[in-house]
Amino acid sequence: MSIKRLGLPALGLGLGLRSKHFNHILEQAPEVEWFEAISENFMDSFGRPRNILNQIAERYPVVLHGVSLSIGSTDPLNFEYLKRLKALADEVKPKWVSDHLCWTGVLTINSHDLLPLPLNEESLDHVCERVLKVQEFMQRPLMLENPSTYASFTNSDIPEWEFLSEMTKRTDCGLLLDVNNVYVSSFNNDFDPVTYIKGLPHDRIVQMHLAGHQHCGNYIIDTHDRKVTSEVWKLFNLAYRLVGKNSILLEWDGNIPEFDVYHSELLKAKKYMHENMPDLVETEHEGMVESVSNPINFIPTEIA
Amino acid sequence: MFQQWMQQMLLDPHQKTAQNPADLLPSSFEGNVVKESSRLSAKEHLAIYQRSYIARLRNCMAQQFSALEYCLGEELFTAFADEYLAENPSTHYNLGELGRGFTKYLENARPDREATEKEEWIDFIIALADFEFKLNEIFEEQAEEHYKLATSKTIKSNLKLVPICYLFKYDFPVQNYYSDFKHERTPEVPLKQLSYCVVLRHNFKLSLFDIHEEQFHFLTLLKRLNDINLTIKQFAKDYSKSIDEVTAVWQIWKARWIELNFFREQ
Repeated sequence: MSIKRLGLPALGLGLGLRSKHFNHILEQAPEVEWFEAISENFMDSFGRPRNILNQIAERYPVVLHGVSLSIGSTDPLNFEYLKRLKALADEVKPKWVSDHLCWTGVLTINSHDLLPLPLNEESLDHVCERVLKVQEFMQRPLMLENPSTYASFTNSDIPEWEFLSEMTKRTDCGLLLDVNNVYVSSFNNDFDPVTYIKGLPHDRIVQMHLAGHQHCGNYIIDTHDRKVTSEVWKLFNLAYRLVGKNSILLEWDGNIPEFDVYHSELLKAKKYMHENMPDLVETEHEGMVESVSNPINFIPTEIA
Repeated sequence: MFQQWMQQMLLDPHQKTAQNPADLLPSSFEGNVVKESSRLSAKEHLAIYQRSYIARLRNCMAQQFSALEYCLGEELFTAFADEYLAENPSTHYNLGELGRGFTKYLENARPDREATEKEEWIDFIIALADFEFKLNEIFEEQAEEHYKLATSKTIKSNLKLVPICYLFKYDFPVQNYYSDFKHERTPEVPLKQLSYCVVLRHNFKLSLFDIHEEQFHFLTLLKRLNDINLTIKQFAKDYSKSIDEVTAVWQIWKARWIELNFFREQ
């Protein structure tokens, strides 16, 4: 019997830290329970972004969420990256550090995308071995997120939820369940999202993500650029009832709205935790033009 | 091998390079690598990754070189960015590094590279790319931040330039163009004109100022010598002026520069 959430706290409702909102957060100190920062935006920054992250970390619980660990890559682990990540974590003191079950590149190239892995015994062994090494180096458990996928492979023979379950058993890592990603991947790759969520090891889920997506007719892109759809809220409701108190984070990376709009979308999660889901309106999908998926986020230079 | 194959399919979707992705697959792969689904063929599944790879990185390049994108227009900027990214795929986790080689690429890609007379506007876009990338670096640079700014009462021997103070010299008024763009004005490509500017960072914010040639020389000396008296002495020598004449000019510059946070107190 494992300890629920690896013994980590349920932080409540949090938001992604975006440069557009830096001033608002510092000046208005909004009542948000916690923030998630993209690790790579701050690891090599010694200017304003890092300074602001440090100020926010003094006032709010913070977690670090990475996009370049590349845990599934066949390249050797990048220990220079891990060293920088560890230094940032030592400074910011996040509640935990997370990344994705994916690979981002090989032969030293970084595609800056969260690329899917074939899911089979060979890749499971490979990922678990690397998770153990990362945890040993970081001296903390790692949380891994299910990515949005747009393809699956002929040499995959383990369903993703079973892969994640086995991975947590072998490595004692935690899970970041992205409910939107489950929906996106299930639509794109013909699996049942309810079976997926029911099949996960719920006591290992430390955090959940919510986000909006772009429906393009016969496929869905994980754009993080709009409100959460009713289909995802329904899955969230199921997940929350199975998992219990947790740390819920709304991601928004494209067409980022004003802070209050972003926050009010997050607060809907309070309503949709309950079984009857009051006021849930079915989402009408508009516009079939493909947008860019946004697993990355670049902080532009500002001048006075 | 599978990952090399997929990466090659993303980086070179039209197979312009000599590398045939199929050669990267082990012989155990028969037929498709990617599964088809009820709605999409295997090729269509892969195409989603191929389209988003380049679109995402183009978008980052456009944010990193926003003034340059405005100057060139989206279409031409995208053409340059695509070719640059094809030749220089990212090898760093930090997206801030994505455009590190872009200025060099533009220099090498200029159509009049072999011509004796160069097109002026191309010189300008290369200078602008250089300036934008350097500003990105200065914005993120590690430096001492907790210092006391100088005031008009700070004695001369205690005046030091703030830790982040960079001087730039270009053949075009690059700083004016960049600042106009950032302040949502609509600058035109400027005519050739030697320009000098200083970039300061104080309280993590960048400030950009135009200066003239003599000021550029004075501040260059001050950065090197780190001493006002020695700077005045050398400047007087370089411009064949008396110490008194230079000191008089320095008093005017000093008042203005202290106001603009050029100096800290030692």
